[in-house]
Amino acid sequence: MFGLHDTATVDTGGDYYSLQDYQSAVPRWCPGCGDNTILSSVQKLCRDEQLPPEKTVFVSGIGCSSRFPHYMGTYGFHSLHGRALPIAQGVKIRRPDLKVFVNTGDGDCCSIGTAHWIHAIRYNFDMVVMVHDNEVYGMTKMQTSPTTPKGIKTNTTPKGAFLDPLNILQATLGISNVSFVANVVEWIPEVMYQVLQEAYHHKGFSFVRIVQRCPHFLPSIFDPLLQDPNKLLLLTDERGLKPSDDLRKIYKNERPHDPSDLDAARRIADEIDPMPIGVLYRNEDVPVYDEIRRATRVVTHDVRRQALDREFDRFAVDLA
Amino acid sequence: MEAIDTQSAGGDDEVVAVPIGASTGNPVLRRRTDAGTADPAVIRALKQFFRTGTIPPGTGIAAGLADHVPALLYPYLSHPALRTPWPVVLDETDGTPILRTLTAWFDDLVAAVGDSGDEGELRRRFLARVEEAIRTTDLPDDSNLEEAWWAAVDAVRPGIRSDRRETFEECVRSAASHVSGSARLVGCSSAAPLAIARAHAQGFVAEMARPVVEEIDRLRTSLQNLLDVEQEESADAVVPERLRGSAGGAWSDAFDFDALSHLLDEAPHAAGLPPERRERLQTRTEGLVEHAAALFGKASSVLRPYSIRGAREAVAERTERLLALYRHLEAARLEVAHRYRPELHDTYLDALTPAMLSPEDFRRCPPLFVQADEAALDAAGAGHILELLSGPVPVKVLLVLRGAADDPEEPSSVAALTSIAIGQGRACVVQTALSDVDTLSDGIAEAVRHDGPALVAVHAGAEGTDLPTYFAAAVARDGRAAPSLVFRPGVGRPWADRLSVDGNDAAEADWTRGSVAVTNEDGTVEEVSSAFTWLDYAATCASLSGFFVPVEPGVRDEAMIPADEFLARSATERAGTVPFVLCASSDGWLVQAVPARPLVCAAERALDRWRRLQELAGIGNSFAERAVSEVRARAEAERDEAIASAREAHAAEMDRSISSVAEAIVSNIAASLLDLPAGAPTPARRPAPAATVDQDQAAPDAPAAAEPEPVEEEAGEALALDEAYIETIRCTSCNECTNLNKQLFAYNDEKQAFIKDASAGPYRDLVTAAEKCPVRIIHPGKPLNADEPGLDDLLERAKPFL
Ligand SMILES: Cc1ncc(C[n+]2csc(CCOP(=O)(O)OP(=O)(O)O)c2C)c(N)n1
Ligand code: SF4
Ligand code: SF4
Repeated sequence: MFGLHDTATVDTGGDYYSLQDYQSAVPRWCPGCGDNTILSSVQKLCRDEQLPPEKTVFVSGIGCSSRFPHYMGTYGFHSLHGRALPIAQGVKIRRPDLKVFVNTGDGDCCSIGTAHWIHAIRYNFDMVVMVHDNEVYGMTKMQTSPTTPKGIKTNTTPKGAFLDPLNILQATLGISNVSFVANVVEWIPEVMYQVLQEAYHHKGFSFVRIVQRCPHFLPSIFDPLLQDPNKLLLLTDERGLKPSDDLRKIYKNERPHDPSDLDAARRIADEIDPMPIGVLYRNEDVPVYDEIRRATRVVTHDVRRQALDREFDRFAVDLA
Repeated sequence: MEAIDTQSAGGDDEVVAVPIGASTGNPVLRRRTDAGTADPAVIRALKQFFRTGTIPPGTGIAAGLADHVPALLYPYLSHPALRTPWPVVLDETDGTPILRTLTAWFDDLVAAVGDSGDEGELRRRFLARVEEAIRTTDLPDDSNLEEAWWAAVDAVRPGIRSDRRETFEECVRSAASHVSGSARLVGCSSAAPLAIARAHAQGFVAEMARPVVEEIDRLRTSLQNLLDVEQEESADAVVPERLRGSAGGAWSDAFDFDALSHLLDEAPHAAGLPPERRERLQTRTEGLVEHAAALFGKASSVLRPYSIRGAREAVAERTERLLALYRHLEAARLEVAHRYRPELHDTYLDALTPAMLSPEDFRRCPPLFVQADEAALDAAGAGHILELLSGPVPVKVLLVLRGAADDPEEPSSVAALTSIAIGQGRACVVQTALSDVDTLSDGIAEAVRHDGPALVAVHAGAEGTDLPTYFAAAVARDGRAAPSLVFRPGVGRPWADRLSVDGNDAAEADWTRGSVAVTNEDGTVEEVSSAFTWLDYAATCASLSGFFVPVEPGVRDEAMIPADEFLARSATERAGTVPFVLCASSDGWLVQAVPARPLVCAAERALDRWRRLQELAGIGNSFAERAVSEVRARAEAERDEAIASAREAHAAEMDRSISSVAEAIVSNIAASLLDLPAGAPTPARRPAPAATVDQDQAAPDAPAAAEPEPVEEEAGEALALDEAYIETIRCTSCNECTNLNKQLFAYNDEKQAFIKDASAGPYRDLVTAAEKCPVRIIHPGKPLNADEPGLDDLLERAKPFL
């Protein structure tokens, strides 16, 4: 109409954040550590989504993986061992305008942090949670973690781990109100990026388990997965993984999977070989805690002080 | 002159535009939904207004639109930096003027200085801000691009983040080299058509003058040669002084020039030119120079526009000049060929009149511009224009109009003028609105280049409207008050080849249509779709405001019908109803405006004119439609026939197959009964076809199948393997390779590794990196240096990664 297309204004696009804006300190992870890969995928995601750094928070617990916030040019909270999730929930409920991300380890989340993990799933806060699962405690120099495979020798199990590992995908899928569960390996950047992007766009608690290499302590544990593309199974869907043709040439194992099907997701979570990669479950209808419990009053320090003053005044004795 | 470029060459690099109305913060159009049924008294009053133009007192409604705008236009009006095609960039640096919209110019600029990744995105945004600054500055109608560019850069600079300043300056520097110092920015005003016409004409005049001027130069030289030869052979040529002069400075004393002169004088001289001929040659030479200079001389004086009256004199003067030039040319040609006979040719040339000049001769006449507006279009003015348009001189009449099409009482004289000019069939006719830069520029280019006269009528937006000129013009085109059209006389045989109305939106329909987002009172948002009719255009004309009654938002009644539907109804269907157009009030309410009958009559006339144009341009052409339906009927009959015969063929084929299978079955049964091997020929079976037998027999002697040619792709791949490479998309950014050698390995914009320079390190680094790479995507290729120590070992280690 009127000689104009319906897209006819100059788009100056406001401020633009480049990758550099999301970079901060030089990472101190070991060379070749999978955490580096996760970092660059997340930085790309922030850049592509143009998340204002001042409106973005990365919360972590303790561990190698939990050093993540230091390397992001956004706000961050490197907190206490196992406590990343409750702190992130606190941030989100007070500041729903912020985008909240959590980086935690298999030890941090599924060992000392288990109680918080389970309840955080049920609360379904709107945030992205990345569990860097290297199947070991890295920071404290190689102790068994809940996800260490049976038989792997560590400093706490020199004869090899005694138990089968905890299936954290299955555990997560078993909790009420679960709304998003995905599994990726960090060495296929395209897959990790796509899944993180879906997780970011999902409204609710987006739980992404990231299989992460720890070349320092478990240098060859993932070799079979790394070297044989057939050991991975790509779960494809419009609302999940959409592998490129280039990727398909390498990873030929793929299966369409409807992520709204919880039963199918649980069955898939049980599959070990080949390892399923992609979005297992996604449900947008689960109520989001930070929405249903959004604060209706402003309770600043000042308001609180005034309220107390008023209450105390009722008992005050007029000395004048 | 290049056609105007509204499409950028930039492809994906365009300055991305955002949709109108999408979270751009414009005021939203609101609709009141709770008004319930309308007061019957109001509806009665509206009907009376529609019929009589008066309103009974006490109804609370009043005629006149105050600051109302057509609803469809509303969302556009609040954008200061809309990417309209204006201003246009006019660059005449290299002789051939180039005309581009500012939009295309910026898109090309982004493509030229663009980059990939973050850097590219930053540059795009910087340039978009500069564009925005230019668009929001109040520039004069004709300004210098370079000055506007730097002023905009200065305006944008303070808002750039301090850590981005350097990138900004760098971007500005590299962009500045594409900003031509002599390019102009021509704004959307009534002066623009002439500026564009002159730019087109400038190149064209130079181009058309070239062959004439060349011929004149040739003739002048030949004439001069004739005079010179005569001079050289005359007695004057051998006087001592002339001889000394031609010997030159150094030799001026070397000879006895008196003796030489004496000697040469003895020799017989040529008879010399008769003085009359010499005079004639001189007259021709001077005449050619004088008239060519007057016709093609300084372009600026050639391109000076005349008024209508001035044009008549100018045409007479130009015809005289053309005739004079023609006489001199003819005579000069004859003189040069020594065939000029005064007794014959003098009379012939003197008797020449303009009527004897052929169209071919008039092609030598540069265009003559006439500019006029409505004020000059009284009966006499229109008559003069038609006279000019039917003559042979290439007069280019440029009409810039501000609303002559508006008067509801009187059919539009401009529309009549264009129709008559098209009917005359000689002149090239272009009609458009100032907003339609494509038609304007291309049409003007055609008009200028057309052999004969041309009429260009440009609607520059109705007078007195508060709308920006661009939109005031755009509504005239889209409301079919001034539809874009180009008529090319003499092109093709069918009229549809000569007349084009393609420049219009929805050229195949009666009206254009659009939609606008409207927020209901309950907060829900709806897209309201509506036609944009001549009545909507009329609602933008200040002079017609009194012909409308705006009705309270929310008033609804079955008697009120959208204008396009009303216009489509027959007189009986219209009974008891009134039309309305959708408007937006200045405070953002959706309002219905009911027009009075005279406006509806004017809209009908506009629609009628438009349909005529459509038909002439081949749209909805009744003859074509009849022909199409005949062809369709014939094609359908043929198709049915084809289907029937295909069915028959199929049935026959099936029949054949069935019988041959049956034959096979019978033969197998027979074989088993007779205890022969299955499939063996039975007496009932036909012999195998000869070809099969031959082939079977030939097989043992046939030469062994040739070795397959090596596939070329493999050779290509083998070559590629010589070079080191990384499967970059699989890189996990683990730093292993980059830590090893930063010159050799580097990250791209996406922080994924690639081989930056394979020669920046030993083969050893490539092999070590390949071994260290956790995802095994580094391929070291062949070593570049055959003398590297330990190469054998390295080649061995490299093997798994080749
Ligand atoms: C309360 C408390 N208990 C124990 C520790 C010691 N500690 C530090 S990190 C860590 C395990 C981290 O393992 P994981 O979460 O898998 O992270 P990784 O280092 O492998 O990335 C432990 C037990 C601590 N810091 N605080
Ligand atoms: S110890 Fe393991 S997990 Fe920790 S930084 Fe080193 S490689 Fe990474
Ligand atoms: S070693 Fe491999 S994965 Fe690591 S940065 Fe280099 S190419 Fe990428």
